Amino acid sequence: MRIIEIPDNPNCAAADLRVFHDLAPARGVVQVCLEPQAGVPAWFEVTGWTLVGKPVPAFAQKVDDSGDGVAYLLFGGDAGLRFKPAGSAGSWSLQDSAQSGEPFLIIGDSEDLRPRPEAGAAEARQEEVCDGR
Amino acid sequence: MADNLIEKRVEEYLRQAPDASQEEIRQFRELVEKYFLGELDPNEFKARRLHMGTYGIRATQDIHMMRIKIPMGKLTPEQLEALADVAEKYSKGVGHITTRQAMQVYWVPTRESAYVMARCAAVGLTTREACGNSVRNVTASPFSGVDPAEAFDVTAHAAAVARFFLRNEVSQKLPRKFKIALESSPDRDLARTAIHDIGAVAEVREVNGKKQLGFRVYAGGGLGAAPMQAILLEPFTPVEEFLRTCEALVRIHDRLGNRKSKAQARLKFVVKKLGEDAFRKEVFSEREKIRPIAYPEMTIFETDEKPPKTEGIVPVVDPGGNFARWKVTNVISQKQTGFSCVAIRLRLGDITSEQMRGLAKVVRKFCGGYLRAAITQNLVLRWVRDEHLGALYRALEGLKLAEADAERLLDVTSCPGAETCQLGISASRGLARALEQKLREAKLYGEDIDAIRIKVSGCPNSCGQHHIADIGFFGGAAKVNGHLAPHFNLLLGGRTAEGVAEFGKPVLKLPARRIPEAVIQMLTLYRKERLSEKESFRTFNERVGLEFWKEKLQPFATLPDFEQSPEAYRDWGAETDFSLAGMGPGECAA
Repeated sequence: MRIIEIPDNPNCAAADLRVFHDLAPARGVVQVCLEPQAGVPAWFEVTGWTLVGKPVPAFAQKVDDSGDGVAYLLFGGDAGLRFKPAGSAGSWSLQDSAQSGEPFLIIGDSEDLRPRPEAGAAEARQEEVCDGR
Repeated sequence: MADNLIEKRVEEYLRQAPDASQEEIRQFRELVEKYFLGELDPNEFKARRLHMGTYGIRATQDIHMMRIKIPMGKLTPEQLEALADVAEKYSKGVGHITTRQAMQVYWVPTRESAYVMARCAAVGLTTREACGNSVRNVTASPFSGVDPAEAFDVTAHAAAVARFFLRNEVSQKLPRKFKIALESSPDRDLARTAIHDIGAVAEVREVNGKKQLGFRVYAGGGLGAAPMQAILLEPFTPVEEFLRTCEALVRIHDRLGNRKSKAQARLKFVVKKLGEDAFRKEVFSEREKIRPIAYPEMTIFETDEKPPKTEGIVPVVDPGGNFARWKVTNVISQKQTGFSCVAIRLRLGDITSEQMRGLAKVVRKFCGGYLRAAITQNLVLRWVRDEHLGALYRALEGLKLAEADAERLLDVTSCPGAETCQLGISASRGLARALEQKLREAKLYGEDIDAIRIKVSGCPNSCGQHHIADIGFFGGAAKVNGHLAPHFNLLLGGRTAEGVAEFGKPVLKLPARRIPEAVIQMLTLYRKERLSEKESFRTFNERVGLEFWKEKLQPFATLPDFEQSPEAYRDWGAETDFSLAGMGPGECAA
């Protein structure tokens, strides 16, 4: 089970407590394909973000989904996820207007996720995403 | 029952079912066999069974909740008896009416799910597209056709929409679910059109001296964790344009809905991303590409239901019991003189198989078979002759279905919550039961507060429609004194009207066990501090503001020490300590 609860913070809006039924270990992720405009996909770099303003690894985990049966929960730090367009040079920063934050995402297709090479199948530690419940 | 006997029964029922149902249920049985033989990927099977209305149940394997669509909530006695059968066979003898006019039955083994499908198909019901990313059950005001305030009866029009999208290839693999509601009475908006992907409100215009039927069409509304009010798509869509307008909206969702990010995939996010004007432009442009779609019922203005021929009913003037109160709270005059609708209050949407069978007889005897399920999780009998109300009350009393206070303060709405839903965090049904009991004990009901509605969801997904309640709660959890305890977030001030969805504003998070006390305090304070009896709860809240409630309710946010009172840390109805274990894919958004 994966638990997500993100307080309101400078990176993203709050997300009330959610639980997800995990189907496989979480894997490190560095890029994700999103739709910044309706029907127009684009790759983004992704990182986890913390309440102290630091990047941490982002992870994707196969979870149950009430619509498609299976989806991928993309989660990061205690302040959610942060995104920037793939290939952009700037470092992670709350001041960079090209970057944006989300508490978590649910991705439909694993093809839209690019794993972190060095992370391999490393499992995300529970304490990185919740308060130990 | 032996497996081969079930198979035999399935075949018997399939022979009575429409061809399309026969074929898809046979295919589903083959899928089940392949799944158990290991020839079908479990994830593929999961997606396919969801499409056929078959969910998982919390902490179980190969046991399901099955959702049966009831378009417009319209039920015949024969359908009610079929639902009684499946509920009796699998669901501990209880069926559950949802907030979208469907019925859910529980504890169906995978291998026997085809039985439920076939039993329902034999009486014209289906589980297909009741779940998954498709056009879900089409809902409508349960009073459509008999409502004195209505523009016209939308029942047949809604039926045409439901028929059009069922098995339609345009709606088989949408980015996310899609919900449609039709309303016959603009002033009442019982269908809650502003919280649907498509909300259509009946309107009649006079063109060249002739009546032209149409709809004010709203689009892109929805609840869930990011609730949004629908926008007005078009002030008048003639009925001739209605189906293709619906199809255009479904196509726009299919084409522009976010297929990358599932939490942002509903149509409401397309509206948000494009902006209202660009969204309308896209829809109208899409509509131009679609051929006109006629449907036989396009010209229906009045209900095609006929006043029932009733025989052998002996009028009862004073049946005793709570008849006087019941008549005030549960009986509504129809526009047809001499007839009334009667709301049957179902606690938390539950009705037993025995009650369903008994009710089927009552419906045949008193109402010519006319019955609707409502999104308030109640049932509505139509075409009851006024002189038969006393006799009907007595008949319903015999079935324990004559409870007063339908659609009132004590009639708390709740999703299934943590009792069965795998997404449920806390026990919404347990809280709803406790609220009614404690308010009743405190004698907190009456004309001045009856209009206040309480709705509860077990998680942030708004199946209990907590966002649109005067007092709404959604489930969560928090540590108190170092121990995890079930909590609910309190929202205040939600409501809907035609084209309007005001969502409740968050006040504070309260431990589940202290909520009845907190609500008693709220109602008591309201009664004590309102300017007069004319100041509604809503107006009072607007005057005192959220800070008032935060301060007044803060004492209820605490719990005694765990060692002193461990039960205070448990969920309603639970005998063990609270935990978040055993969750998974939910019954999300009934």
